[in-house]
Amino acid sequence: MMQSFYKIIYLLLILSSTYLSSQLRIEITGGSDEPIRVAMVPFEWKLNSAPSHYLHEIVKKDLESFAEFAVLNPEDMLSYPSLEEEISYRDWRLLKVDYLIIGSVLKSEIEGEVNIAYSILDVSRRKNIHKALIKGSVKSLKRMGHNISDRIYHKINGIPGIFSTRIAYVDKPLSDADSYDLRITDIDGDGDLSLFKSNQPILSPDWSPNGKEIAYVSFEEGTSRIYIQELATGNRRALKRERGINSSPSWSPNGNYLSAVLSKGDNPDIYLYNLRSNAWTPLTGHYGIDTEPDWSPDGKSLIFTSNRSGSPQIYEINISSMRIKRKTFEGTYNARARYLPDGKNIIYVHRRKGVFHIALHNLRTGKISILTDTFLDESPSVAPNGNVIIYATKDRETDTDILAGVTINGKTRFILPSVSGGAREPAWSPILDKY
Amino acid sequence: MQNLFAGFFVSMLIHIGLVLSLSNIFNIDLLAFQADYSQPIPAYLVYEKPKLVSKKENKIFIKKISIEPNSQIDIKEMVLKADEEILALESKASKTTTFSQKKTNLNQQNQILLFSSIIEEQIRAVWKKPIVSEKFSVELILSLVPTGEILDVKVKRSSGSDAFDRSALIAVAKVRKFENLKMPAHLFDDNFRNFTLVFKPY
Amino acid sequence: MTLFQEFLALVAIICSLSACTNTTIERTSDATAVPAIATSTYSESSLASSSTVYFSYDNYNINSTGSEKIKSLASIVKENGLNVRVEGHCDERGTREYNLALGEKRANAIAELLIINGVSSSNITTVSYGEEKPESRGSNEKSWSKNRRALIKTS
Repeated sequence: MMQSFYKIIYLLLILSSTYLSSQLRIEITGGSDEPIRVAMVPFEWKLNSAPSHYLHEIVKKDLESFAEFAVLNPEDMLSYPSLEEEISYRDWRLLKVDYLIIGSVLKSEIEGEVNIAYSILDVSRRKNIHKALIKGSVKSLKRMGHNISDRIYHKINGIPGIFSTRIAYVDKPLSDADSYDLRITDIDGDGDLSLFKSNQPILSPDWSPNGKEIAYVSFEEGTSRIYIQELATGNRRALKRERGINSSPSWSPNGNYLSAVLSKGDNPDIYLYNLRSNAWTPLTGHYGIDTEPDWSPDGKSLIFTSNRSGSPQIYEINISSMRIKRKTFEGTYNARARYLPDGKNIIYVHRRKGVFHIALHNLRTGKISILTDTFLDESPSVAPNGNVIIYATKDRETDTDILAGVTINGKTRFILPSVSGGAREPAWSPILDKY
Repeated sequence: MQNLFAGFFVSMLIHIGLVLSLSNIFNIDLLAFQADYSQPIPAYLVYEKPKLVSKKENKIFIKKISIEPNSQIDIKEMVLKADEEILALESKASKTTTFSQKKTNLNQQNQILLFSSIIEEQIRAVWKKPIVSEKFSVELILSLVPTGEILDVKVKRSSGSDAFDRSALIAVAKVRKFENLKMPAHLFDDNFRNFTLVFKPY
Repeated sequence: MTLFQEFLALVAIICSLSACTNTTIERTSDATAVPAIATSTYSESSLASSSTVYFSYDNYNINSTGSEKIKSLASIVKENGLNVRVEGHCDERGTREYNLALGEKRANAIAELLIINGVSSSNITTVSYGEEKPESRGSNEKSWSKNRRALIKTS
């Protein structure tokens, strides 16, 4: 009797669950592929001098970089509001604009400075979603423009914009076989300047987490040694040199350590360098080649290249447990891996049918996708928002070394023109203007 | 003997209940179909020509129908009609008396599906999802009036990302009023006056 | 963070909770990078002659031609009490750091053979340049084969 009673209760519970969530649920699993439409009204200019840059032109160029946005030309606008009260949302809705940016450039109490006040508005819901005031010198008007692009990008896409970031790279001019130059450039190619010149090789630049220093390998003493250079001052210091190879520096997320490669133990292994005590500690000790370490964003693991299985493959080591796990099983050459900021994916150089490509690899599922279709791809570096990759490759027609890029979804590709024809080893900076 | 029967019966009910509730939880469409054609496809309907009540004639016709693109609603209406007639055929064969009941239930399910997909299409067409790298999902509660106009929208469960939530709210704001939602009053009141819209791009 | 910045942060948090738009205040910096001045850079003018041994792709085995060269070089070095600097090089294919390791293997293989042939290890220095100093430009086997080499420099 009790048995049937319990069965009936169980039955009722099951059947009633269908009524608990009885409100209709409609799922939207996809959307429009159209780019997001943005309109930036030329800002009201309240200074006596003429503008050195037009902010709306900087923002338009930035936002359209990766085919994610379509920015309206000022000629196509129906009105030019600079205050929220002046906005007629119907006009913008007619133009199918999703987001509107209005603002003014105002005089500052401080000599040589400007204040830029702007707002980002959601046209469909007629709401102000971001109001900001940027202060800066007149000379950095361009930077303020990139700052605005970053904020717009972040508000709309939910991930940081990278328009204020920089790329460090090594340049070896075609014209001079014995000239090596460590340089940095803004994302748009401006501000390209030399950080360090030498007549001996320079390689493997790596940014510190706060963006203030760059570590790199220099052969200026006749053999490889790791140096750290402070960007603001140009001051350099060298890591304690060991016999053999000293190379492949990778900064820890907390900035206290560098992982690098030493071959003093008769074969290249991964070591940790304590920046305070200047001491080297071995991490791997296999008789094969262990090289190209990269720290995980959470600081708990490192991925590196090792040929311990016979050919270069990617391995991951947990720093506290020292457990090493092989990660790549496809292909006979997988090297120079880098974590994406989410810590769940890596990119690396992958050889397929004799051609070197950049591959994206999910650490959990092991699924790989090839991101590039260029020739002799190497040294991939990820943007700090995880959305774009830059790498070094060869322009077959001109036989020059160039830097190329691709968005992580594989949809947009671009090339950074290199003046000298010898650009290699790109390293993407972290987000430089934190807020 | 009696216990065995009772046991069997309860067990069967439990299993049906499980299937129904599980399909609800995982949003599995038990009666799903897709009609997305890009060019005319011949379709074959088998149906009985004479009226349902009469038992005299049992002619079975095979009729070829071409389905043109852009007539999704026609397709669905046609299939609704076909279902109706298949039911009629089945009921005749099984000689059950609950035919009219089955017809209204099946009809209703199909209609809910039909209008849900109309709503889904209109939202899909305007939703520009942001690049956020996580697997986000936001749930909104929409309130409509029978004309299809959206009276109110509330966030039932946020995705945790401002940008993602906002993109969903904007999609709803862009639609403003759903087209082609003409349906019987009770169907609207029971299902579409207030419903949950889930944005889940994966 | 200064007190003011903390206050702003607090206001921003409260505002985001109550869904109001408060003005975010930011400041852009003028900071730019300064180039470094190189200290001493290594120059090779002091080194006298050099010989070259070639390798096959992804390999650091020395073939018979190479062995012969090293054997005769070893006797010259011993006779004249010379110092040897062995440089390992690679072709451009593959990643730079991995090639640095491969170049070292080539240099080490040469050094070992020299030692077997009687040269004292204290007279030998090895260095790897990986793919950084190619002999021949060009992305074809002709160029690549010329770059897969070890240079033995005596002084």
